[in-house]
Amino acid sequence: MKYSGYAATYTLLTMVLAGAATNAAAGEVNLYTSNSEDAVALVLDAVAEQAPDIKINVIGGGSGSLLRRIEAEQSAPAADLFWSSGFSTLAGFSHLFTAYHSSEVDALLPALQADNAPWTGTNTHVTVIMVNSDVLDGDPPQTWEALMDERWAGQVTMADPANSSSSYAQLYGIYQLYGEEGVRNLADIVELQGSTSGVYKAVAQGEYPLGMTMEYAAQRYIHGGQSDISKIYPADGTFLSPEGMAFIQNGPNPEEAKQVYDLLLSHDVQEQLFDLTFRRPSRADLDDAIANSGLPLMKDLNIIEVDEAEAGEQRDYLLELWADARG
Amino acid sequence: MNRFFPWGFLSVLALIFLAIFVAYPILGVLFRSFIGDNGTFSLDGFETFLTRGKYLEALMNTVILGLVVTLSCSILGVFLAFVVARYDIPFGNIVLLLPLSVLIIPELISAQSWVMVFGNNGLVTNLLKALGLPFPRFYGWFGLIYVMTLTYYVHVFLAALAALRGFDHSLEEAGQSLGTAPLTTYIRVVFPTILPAVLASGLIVFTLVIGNFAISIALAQRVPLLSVMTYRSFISELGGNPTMQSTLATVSILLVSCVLFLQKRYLSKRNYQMVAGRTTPRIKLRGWKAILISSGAGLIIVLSLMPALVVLIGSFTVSRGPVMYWGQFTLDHYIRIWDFNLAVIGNSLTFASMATALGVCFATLVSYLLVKKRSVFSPMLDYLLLLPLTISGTVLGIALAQGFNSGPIVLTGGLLMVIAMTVRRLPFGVRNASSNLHNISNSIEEASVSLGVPPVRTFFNVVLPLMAPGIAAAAILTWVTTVAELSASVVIYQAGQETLPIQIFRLISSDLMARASAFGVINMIIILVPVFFGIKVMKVRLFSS
Repeated sequence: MKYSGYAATYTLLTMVLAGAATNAAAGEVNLYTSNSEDAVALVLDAVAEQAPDIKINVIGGGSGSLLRRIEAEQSAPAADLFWSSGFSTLAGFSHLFTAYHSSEVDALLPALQADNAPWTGTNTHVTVIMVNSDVLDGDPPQTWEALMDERWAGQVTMADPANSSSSYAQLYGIYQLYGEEGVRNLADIVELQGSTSGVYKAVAQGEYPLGMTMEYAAQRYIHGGQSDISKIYPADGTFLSPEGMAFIQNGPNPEEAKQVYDLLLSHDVQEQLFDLTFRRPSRADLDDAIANSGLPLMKDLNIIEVDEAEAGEQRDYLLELWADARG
Repeated sequence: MNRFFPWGFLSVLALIFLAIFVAYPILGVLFRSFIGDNGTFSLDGFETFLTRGKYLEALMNTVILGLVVTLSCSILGVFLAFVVARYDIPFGNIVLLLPLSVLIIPELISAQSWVMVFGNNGLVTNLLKALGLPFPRFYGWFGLIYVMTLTYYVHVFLAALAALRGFDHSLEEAGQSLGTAPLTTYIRVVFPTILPAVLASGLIVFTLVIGNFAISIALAQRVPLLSVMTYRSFISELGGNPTMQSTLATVSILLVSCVLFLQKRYLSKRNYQMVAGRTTPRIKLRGWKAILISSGAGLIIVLSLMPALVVLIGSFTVSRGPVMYWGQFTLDHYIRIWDFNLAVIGNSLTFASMATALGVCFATLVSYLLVKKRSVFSPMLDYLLLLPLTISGTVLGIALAQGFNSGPIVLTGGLLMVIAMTVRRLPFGVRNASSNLHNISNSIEEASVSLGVPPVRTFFNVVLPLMAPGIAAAAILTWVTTVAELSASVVIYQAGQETLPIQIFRLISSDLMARASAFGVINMIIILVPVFFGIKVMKVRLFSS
């Protein structure tokens, strides 16, 4: 009895020591993510099933907060992966990332492969007009051009392009379609929200009948069963606002992180994530899932191509024009 | 006996602490507002502030909002205090619990609850619409003033109630026996004596209003306000402009300093010492007066408690994404927290208990030094302790984050969170801890020292037990406010350090009210448990001062 007691203690002790020694080495990935907990839980389940020897440590938070933390930890990186944020936001932190060419990248939509950047598209937002029929007077506008009619003055809301990257993408899209005059017309009719979430909340609560927002945000209310909410894909074109994940430079567990990276881009995980969040997947082979959800297929949308680099260069000029038009 | 050691030495230590964590970051903000893009002296920040339309408009709006809400809070608070102090109304005892209920509801959640009642899709709005009655637009000024009044009037209520209870009834009788009508007596005798208390609490309301961004973001995205702009300038996902952040923060510091100065000047001319006299007897009302006054007070109580009720029900309500299915109940939101978010609760408990412990130790020591061991350092301590009052949580957060992310002292994350929470409540903690210190006779302490007990042991064995009730009250109030702290921590926290209010803020931002409510209920429980323990078991008298 006494002997087995010692043996057990000894075995336990070796296990603890071994555990401590290999703690940082095998089987762990530190994932920094701005995604919702249910999306993260889904990924954890997928990893547990397909790569059972990898344990994921999740640090969740707002993307700004996470990226600043990665920047603060630059001398001794704790994170392996960052998942996910808008391309234009990631661009401001590209010195923290290393490019990783996943084997899954070839299956992605060309616009989301981000070949020249140290990140990979995971999903993309599509700009829509969110409509609350409960407070809408008449028929909703079917194009951006119709939306910018003065008849809708004060009834349309969007996020401040100076504060939000997806809102700037909307402004840039309008500029591409209708030039400076379009920007002025838009400035005349919209009222601004301080943040992206302010837009869909305001429309859902009936503060405004119309809002320029992201497809998934409107879809959450439609799927949730709020019958007075609908969304319109303007016939004169809509804009994408892609999001991506990135591989952290000098992260502690590069090999395992690569496995998780591949997994996040895999067919099954992207399909499940789409069913959960309605964020359009970056993969090109998920049309069935999209059709099942009731959202239109990518090929049926009239998408205005945006040159991200040019959009970035024009930013100061356009925001100045915008501020001027807003008076 | 060395005259410097230990009290002078401790005063210097306290002074150093305040200099590092209060004066240095705040001066840094003021300093940086005069530094331009290229690192040299520049007035660009202020030029932008004065010439770009929306900044001045935001300043104007902020001042107007601050004044209007302070006024409405004063009316509501004094009315309720008067009713409770003077009349024997049915809900008298419930009214005394009010302060708790309003202090523990996260203000964000209360704003969101009111949107559910009065918003364009709200319960009352739809009811009135069905009856064909128009209801004013809740978003914007109306909602702001309404929600802020109901959130902050409690501060005035408490101060006015304490003053009214301390009022010597014989003064009023004297007035009336000299032939002055009862109403005139109220206005000429009673109100002037409670005015200093009302003004002092009004100042607190004013600073809370102009520093608040949570309610403003929820209700009035279109009304430009200084607090919201300051917050956004710091949190902008596209990277803010440091000069503008500091300029906005500086403007808000100047604004509160001006009001603080005016209030001090006014109060310095009016100082009433009330000799403890007879408390005014409570009158039992009858007839229509009773109905009118009780229902007025009852309405305020019901309205104050309403958000807590909405939160409680909301946390058990089925939701699909952002859409709530009222009337269908579930435990899902709590199960999710259990599965995923225990760390958030842990963060809240850790930060708040560390901040409370640090704050209470500091407040106890400093109040003792200031009341009993005044030295050449005391005036300096007094002034430094006033500083946290002049800045809103967001500005303090920005000051600490900017001050300690580079330079001689580098601090981030958890420690900075604790310091922010501690510093914010320090002036109140010191006031609470010193509340009964004035009544402790010096001779008790001197007796102990003259019998050969060293001063430090005397402090622990003799003075500390006598200070205990004040310290306990300070601890509980610090706990209540640090657990609910949002505006400073939300600009400091890093990933993995989310507290309950931060999590609630993020969930409400994505319109997930049901889940936010479940966090709100947990937040309320965490706040309430120690309070009940304090009141029931340790018999702490809260709100006595």
